Amino acid sequence: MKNRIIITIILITSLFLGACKKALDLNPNDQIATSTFYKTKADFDAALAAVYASLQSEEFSYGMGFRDGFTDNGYNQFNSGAAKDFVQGNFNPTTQGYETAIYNDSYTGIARVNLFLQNLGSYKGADISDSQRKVYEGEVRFIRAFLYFQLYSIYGDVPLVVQPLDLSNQKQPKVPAAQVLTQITADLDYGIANLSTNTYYTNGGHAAASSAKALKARVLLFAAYGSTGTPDATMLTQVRDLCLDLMGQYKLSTNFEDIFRDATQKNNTEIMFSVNFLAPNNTAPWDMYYGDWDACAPMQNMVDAYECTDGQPYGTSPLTDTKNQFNNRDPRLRKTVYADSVDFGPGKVHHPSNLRPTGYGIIKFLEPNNMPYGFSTLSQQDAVILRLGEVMLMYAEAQNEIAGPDATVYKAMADLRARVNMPAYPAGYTKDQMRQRIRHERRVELAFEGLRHYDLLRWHIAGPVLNAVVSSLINYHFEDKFYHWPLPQTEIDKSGGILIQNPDYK
Amino acid sequence: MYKNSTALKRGQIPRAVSKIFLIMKLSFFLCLVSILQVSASTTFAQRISLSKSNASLVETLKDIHRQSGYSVLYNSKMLKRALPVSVDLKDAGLDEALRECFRDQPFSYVINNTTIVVTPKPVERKPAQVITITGTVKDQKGAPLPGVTIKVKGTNTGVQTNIDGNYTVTVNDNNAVLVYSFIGFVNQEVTVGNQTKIDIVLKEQTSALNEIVVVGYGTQKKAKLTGAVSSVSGETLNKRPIVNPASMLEGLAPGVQVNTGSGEPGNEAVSIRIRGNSTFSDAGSDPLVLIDGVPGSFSDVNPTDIDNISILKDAASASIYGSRAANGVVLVTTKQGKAGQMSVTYDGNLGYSSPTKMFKLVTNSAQYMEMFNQARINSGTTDANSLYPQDQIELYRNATDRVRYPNTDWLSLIFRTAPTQNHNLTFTGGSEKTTYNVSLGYINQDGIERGFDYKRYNARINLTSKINDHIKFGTNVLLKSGTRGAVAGNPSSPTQWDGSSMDLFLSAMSQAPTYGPYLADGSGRYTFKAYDFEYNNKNPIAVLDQNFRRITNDYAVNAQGWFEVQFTKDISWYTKGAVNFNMDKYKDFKATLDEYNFQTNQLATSLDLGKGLTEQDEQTVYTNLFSYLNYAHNFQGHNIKAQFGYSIEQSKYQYLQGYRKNFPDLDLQELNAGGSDIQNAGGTSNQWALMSYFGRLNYDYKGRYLLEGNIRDDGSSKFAGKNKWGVFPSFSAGWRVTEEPFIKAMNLTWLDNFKLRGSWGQLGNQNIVINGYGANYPYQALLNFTGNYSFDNSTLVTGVAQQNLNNPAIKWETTTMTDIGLDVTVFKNFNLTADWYNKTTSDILRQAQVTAAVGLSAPTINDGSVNNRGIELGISYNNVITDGALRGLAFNVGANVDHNTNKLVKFGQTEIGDYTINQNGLPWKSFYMLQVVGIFQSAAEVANSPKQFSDSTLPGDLKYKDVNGDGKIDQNDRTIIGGVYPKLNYSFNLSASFKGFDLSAMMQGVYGVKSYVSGWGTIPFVQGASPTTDWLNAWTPEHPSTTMPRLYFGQSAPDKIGRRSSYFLQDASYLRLKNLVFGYTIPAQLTKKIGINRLRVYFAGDNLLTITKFKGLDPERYGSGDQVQYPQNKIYSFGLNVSF
Repeated sequence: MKNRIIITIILITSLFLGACKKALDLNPNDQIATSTFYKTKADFDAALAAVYASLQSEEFSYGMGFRDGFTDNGYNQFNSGAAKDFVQGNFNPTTQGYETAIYNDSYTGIARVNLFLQNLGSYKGADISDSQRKVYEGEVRFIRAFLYFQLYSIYGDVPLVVQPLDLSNQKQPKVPAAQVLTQITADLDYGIANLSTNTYYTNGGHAAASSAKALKARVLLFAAYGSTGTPDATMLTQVRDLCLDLMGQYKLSTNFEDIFRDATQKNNTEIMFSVNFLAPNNTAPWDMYYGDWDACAPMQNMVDAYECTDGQPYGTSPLTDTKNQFNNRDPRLRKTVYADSVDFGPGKVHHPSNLRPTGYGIIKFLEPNNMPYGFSTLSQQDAVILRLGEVMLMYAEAQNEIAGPDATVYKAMADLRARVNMPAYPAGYTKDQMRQRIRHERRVELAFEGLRHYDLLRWHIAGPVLNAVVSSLINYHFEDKFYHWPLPQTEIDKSGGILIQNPDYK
Repeated sequence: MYKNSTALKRGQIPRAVSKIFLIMKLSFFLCLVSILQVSASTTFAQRISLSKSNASLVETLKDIHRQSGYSVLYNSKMLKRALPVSVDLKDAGLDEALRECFRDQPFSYVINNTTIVVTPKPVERKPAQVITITGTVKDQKGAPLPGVTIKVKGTNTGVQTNIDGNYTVTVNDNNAVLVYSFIGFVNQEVTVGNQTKIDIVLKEQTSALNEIVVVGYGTQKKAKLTGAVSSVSGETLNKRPIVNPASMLEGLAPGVQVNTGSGEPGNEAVSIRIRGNSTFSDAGSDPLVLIDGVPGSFSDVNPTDIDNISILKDAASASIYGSRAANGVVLVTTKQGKAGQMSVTYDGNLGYSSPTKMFKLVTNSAQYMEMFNQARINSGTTDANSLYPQDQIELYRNATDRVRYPNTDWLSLIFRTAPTQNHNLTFTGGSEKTTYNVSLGYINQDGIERGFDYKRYNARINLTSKINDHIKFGTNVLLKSGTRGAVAGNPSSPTQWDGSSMDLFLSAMSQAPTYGPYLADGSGRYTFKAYDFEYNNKNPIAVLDQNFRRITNDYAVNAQGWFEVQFTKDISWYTKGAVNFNMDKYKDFKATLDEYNFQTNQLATSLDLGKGLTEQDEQTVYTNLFSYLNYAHNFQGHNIKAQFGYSIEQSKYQYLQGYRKNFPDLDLQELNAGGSDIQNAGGTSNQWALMSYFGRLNYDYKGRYLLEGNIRDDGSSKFAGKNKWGVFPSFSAGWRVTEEPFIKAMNLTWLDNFKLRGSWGQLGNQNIVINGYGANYPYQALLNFTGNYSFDNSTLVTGVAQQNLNNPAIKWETTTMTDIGLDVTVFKNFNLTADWYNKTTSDILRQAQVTAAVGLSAPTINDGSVNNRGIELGISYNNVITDGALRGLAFNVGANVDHNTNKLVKFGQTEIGDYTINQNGLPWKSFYMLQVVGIFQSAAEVANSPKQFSDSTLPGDLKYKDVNGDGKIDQNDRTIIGGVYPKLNYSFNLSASFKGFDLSAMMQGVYGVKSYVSGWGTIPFVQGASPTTDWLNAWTPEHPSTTMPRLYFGQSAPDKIGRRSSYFLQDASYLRLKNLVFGYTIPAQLTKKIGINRLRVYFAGDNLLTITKFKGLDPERYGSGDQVQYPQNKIYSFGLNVSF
C-alpha cells in the first residue's frame, strides 16, 4: 500500500511537471505582431494598401450619391447616413449616420497614415530609397489631407491628430478650423512637391502630384468662401493657377459616361484620383444600391434642372416635351437619371426590386455588364474622386470671381458642355449671370458625385436652396447652425470635457 | 450427517462439520488434550448402567468408557464448563446413556466407530435452515421500487429488487432481520418470523437533508452545504416535451432566470442568467456549464440522460471553478448504471406544435387597399399613381374569382401546426463490479415556420467498473449528430440567432393580400406585387419552394475517462481526462429567381438573395485533464475533508470556408460543381489554454458548525506577465441550530431543521470579446490582414493594418459575492430555502471608451463595476396520505420567487444608445426615450402644446411629454423609463399521484419587465406589411382613438410617428402554464402478461396558457428589438414510458 501511494505521488508530480507553463504562452496564427512587422519594403507596400483602402468606406466612395441626399438633389428612402434627418432639420449630436461615420472613418484613416509615417520614420532598411520614402510620405499625406478636408468642411473645428495616439493621450481637444486647413495644405504641398509628375492615369493607381493639386484646388475653393459666402481673392488665385496647371495636363473623357463605367475608367484621361475596387473580392455595391434598391432617388427639381438641348431651361425652352420629359434634354440627364427601369438598350434592362419613391433612380454609376442587379452583383466601378470636369468648373468659378466672365471662363464652360453636345453660353454675361450658370452647370455635371453638399455650404446658400424645396415626401428645414455639423455626442462624452461641442448644439 | 462422519483417525474431516472440526483440530494439537486410551480390539458389552448424583461429567464419561469400551475424546479445558450429572440408568444403550449425560450440558457428542467425541453444543451443528422470502417493495404511492437493497442484518448477504420492485432472498433463521434501504427513502427493518412473503412500503425521506448534492469536484450532503446550491433532478427536468435541456431549467430554481428567446428548432437562443446580468462586458453573463465535470455545451446533451443538475449560485460554491465562474456554474450529471438485471426503457412522445400567438393582420384586400390609401395620403403622398384606384378596390371587394382577386393570408402560408417526435431507448444494468447505462435518442422537430426543422441523434455510453475494492474506473461518452435546416440567409450577428427565420417571417408580413404567391395563370411562376406602387419584400413561398436552404450539421463527441483510487479509508485520488470534439458545418445555397407581376404576368424583377454556395467547417477540439486528492477524517465529532487538485485545459478552434458563385445546374450543390470564375476561401485557427490549481477544506463539528474554504489559482494564455495568474478564494460557514443540544433539549418536534449559512468569495470572468468575436490574444499589439486594395485595377494588393489598440495590462474581471441563506424544515414536509446576496463585479472587461480620434478600435480594459443584489425564496411541501379514502395520494407543491436589482456602479461616461442609456446608478441598458402621454385629439390641443421637433403635428399624432419643461419637444426630452429587467421571476409547481395516475403542472412568470418592440407587426405598412387589426381603430376625425394614432405609411412615415418613444415600450410581464403533464401507469399485473414491467402513458403540454398584456407576439422573447421573431411553441404531446 505504501508503495502504491509513493508511486501515485510520483505520477501526480510528474503530471504537474509535464504540463509546463509554456502551455500558456500562445500566439495568434493569422495575425502579425506589430513588433515583428515592417522589416522590408514589401511590408510598407502592404501597409500602404491599407491606407488607400481606408477610403473605401461608403461615405468616401460608393456612398457619394447618398451625400446628395443631404441636398436638394436626391431623396434617400432608407435614410442612409441620416440624410432624411438632416434635410428635415432634426439633426443633433446624437443623430449618428454620416455624422458619426465621417468623423470615425476619417480618424481611422488618419490613424493608419500616422502609424505608417511613424513606422516609416523608424525604418532603416536600405531597400527603401530616399526618393521612394518621399513618395510614400507624399501619398499617405495626400490621403490624410483628403480625410481632414472631410472633417474641416463639415465640422470646422476638430482635433488635429498627426501622431499615433494611445490610451494615455486619447482625449484630444479640438483646434480652430484654420489650423486644420494649414495642416491640409501642408500635407498637399508635400505631395505636390514629392509625388510623381505623371498623370494619375499613368501612375499605376497611386496618387500623383496632380491629384494633390486638384484636391488642393478643391480645398482652397471651399476655404476661400469662409463663413460668409464671399470669396477670398488670394485663395481663388491659387485655385485658378492650380486648375490651369491641371487643365494643361489632363484631357476630358470623350464620353461622359465612360468616367463612371468599369471598362472605360482604366487610363481615362480625365480622372485625377479614384478609389479603386476589384471584383470579385474587393467590390462596392454600386449597382445594387443605385440600380436595384434606388437608395438615392433624384428629386423632380433635380430632373427639372437639366436644360433642353438648346441650352434653355426645361419649361422655358420651346423644346420642352412634358409628355416625355427626357426628350430634347441635356444628354447628361439620361446618363445620370433613369425613370421606371434601368435601361441600357435591348437585353440590358433591369427592373429595380424597390419602389422608386420619386419615380427616378441614378443611372450614372451603373455598369451595364453587371445586370441583373442584386445581392450577388459584384460591382468594381472605381469611385471617381477628382476629375478634370470639376477642375474646369473650379477654374471657371475662380476666374469669374477674380476677373469676371472672360474668354477663358467661356472657353472652359464651352469645352465642358461640348462634350455632351450642349451649346456654349451666349456672350455678354455679367459676372453674376456667369456665376449662376457655373453653379448650375456644377449641379448638373457633378450630380450625385457628393459635391453638391460642399457647394451649398461654401456658397452659403444652403438655407435659401433647401428651404425652398417642395416635396411630397419630406419637409425640408434648414437652419444656419447646420453649416457646421455637431460633433458626435459620444465623442463629447468620452473626452470627459476636453472636446467641446460646437456652440450651436450645446 | 452423523452417518456420514468418518473416522477422525484417518484425518478426514466431513465437509459439513468442517468448521466444528477445525476448532477441534486446533484443540487436539494445540490445547491440552486428554484421551482415555483403550485397546481398540477389546470388546465390551454395550449396555450401560449408571447411577450418579451431581457427579462430574468427566467422571461419568469415564464410567461409560469403562462399561462400553469406547474411547472418549474431549477437550479438558472445554469440559471445565460441564454441569454436574445426575443419572440413573440400568442396561441402557450407549446412545441413551450419553443422551442422558449430555442433556443439559453445553456440549454435545459424536460417535465415531468406537470413539465418543465431545463437541460443542450442536446449535451450530444444526443443519442451516433455508427460508426463501419473496415480496415486492413499493413506495407510498404504490409504485414499485426497483434497486432497493435488502440485506440480512448482521451479514453481508444482500439482494436488490428488480424493475418491478420484486425480490427473493433466503435466510437461515426465522429470527433473521431484513433491512430495506433505498436512497431517498427511510430504511425499514422486518423480522422474518413465519413469513415467506414480505411486501414493503418504503416511506420517502421526508427530509431532504440526507440528499447528496453534486458540487464542484465532488458531492456534499445537503445538510452540510454552506453555499447556495439549487439542484434539479432529471425526472423533474424531463417533464417538458421540449428538446433543449437548457430551456427545461426554466422556473425550476430560484435565482436562475432562463429565457427561451425563440421557438426555432435547434436554435432556441436560450439564455441562462444566475443572479442577474453581472457584467456589461462583451464577456457576457452566461454561466459555466459542465457536463460530468467538463465544460461542454448544454444543447449537446440528451435530456433523458440527465440524472441531475446542480446550480452553484454563490461565490463559495462556484469559486473552485475560479476564472470562469463569475456568472455561476451549472453542473450536469448524467445517469450511471445500476447493478442488477438489464433493464430496457423506452421513452417517447409525439407532439404537435403551433405558435403560442400569431399576428392578426388585415387580410381582406379591399380593406387593405383602403387603409393603404389612407396611410399614403396621411404620409403626404398626393400622386394618384401611388394609390389604389377606387374601381380596383371595388373589383376586389365584389370579386367572386378569388384566384384572380384574392384575400391572401400570407402568414397562414408559412406558419403551420408541426409535428415533433422524440424517442429514447435506455439500457441499464450491470454486475456488482461493472455497471452500464447506454442510451440512444432521436428527435425530429419540424418548425411551425416552414423551412425550419431540426433532427438529432444522440448516444451515450456510461460505464463504471471496480477493479478491486480500491480502484474504480469508468468512461462517459457522448455522441451527437444534429441537423438543422433553415432558409438560406445571413446570420444577422454572431451573438444573435440566425437571422433567416426572422427574415422569412418579415418577408411574409411584407406582402399585400392583393396577390397570392403564384401567378393566377397556373404556370407556377412566382409573383412580385399586383400593382407597381405596392411595397413588398421577397416572395417567401418562392424561397421555400426553391429550397434556398442553409443546412447546418453539428457533431459532438465528448469522451471522458476517469479513475478513482481509494488508498485508505481516508484518502482517495480521482483523475479525469476528457476530449470534446465539436464540429459544425453548414452549407448555404441560393440562386436567383424571376418574379412576375400578378396582374400583368410581366417579369417584374429578379429575386437575388446573394447567389452561390457557401460551405463552412468549424472545429473545436478541447482537452481537459484534472486530478485531485481527497482526504476525509472523522474523530470525536470533528469531521475534516480536504481536497487538492490540478487541471489543465486547452482549446483549439479552426474554420475553413469556401464559396463559389455560379452554378450551371442548380441541383448540383457542391463546390466543385460551381464555376471557378468567382470563388473564394477563408480560414483560420486560434487557441487558448488554462492551467489551474484548486483546493477545498471542509470542517464540521458534529454537523453543527460547518466551515468551508475554497481556493483556485488560474493561469490563462489570454493574459500576459504578472496578470497571467489569478487567485480566487472563498469562505463559507453554516450553523445548524437544530443540532445544538440545547435546542434538542427543547424537544421541538415541529422543527426538523434550521440552518443559517453565510459565504463570501471572489470569482473571475476571462471571456474577452472584441468586435463580436472571442479574443484570445488581447494583450498583444496585432496587425490584421485588412484593407486590400487594387491600385491598378488588375491585381489586389494585400493590406495590413493595426485595427485595435492593445492593452498589455489586461487581466480578469472579478466578481465578489456575499450570500446569506437560511434552510428550514418544519413539520417534516415543509421546506424553505431563502438567500440574500450582494454581488459586485469590478475590473469589468469592457471596451475602453476610446475617442474616435485614436482611429483604432478600443482595447478591452479592466474598468467599471456592476452590482446585483437580490433575494431568492424557494418553498415546498410534500406529503403522502397514508389513510382514508385518499390513501396513497402523494403530492408536492412548491413555489420559487426571486428579485434582483441591477445597478451600474461605475460605468464611466454615460452612453446613450438607440433607446437605451448606460449611466451610473441605473440598471445596465435602461430604457431611454421620449415619453408618450397620449394622442392629440384636436388642433387646439396641438396649438396649446409644446412644439414637437420640426413636425407638422396634427390631431391623431402621438403627444410627447415635455420632460425638461422648456416648452418644446426635442431629443432633450428623452427620459429614463424603468422595466429593463423583471422585478420578480416566479414559478409554481404542483405534482400529485394517485392510484397509477400522475399529474404535474408548472406555472412560470415574470413581473415588471418591459420590451421595446418596433418594425413589422407594430408599425403598419413597413415594406407594405398589412397592419394588425388593431389599426382598424386608428385615429380619424370621425372616430378619435386614445390608443391608436393616425395611420401612416411604414418607412415613408414622418418621423413624428416612428421616433423612439414609450409608445413602442410594452409591458412584457406574463404568467404562463409552462407545462402540464397527466399520466397513467397501467397496473403491472396487466402489463406483465405481455412482458412489460411498467407501462405509462401520458399527455404533456407546453405553453398551454399565457396571461399577459403584451400585444403582438409572445412576451417571452429574445429581448427588445423587432416585433417579428420566430414565435414560441405551444405543444400538445402524447408519450409512452415502457420498461422491459
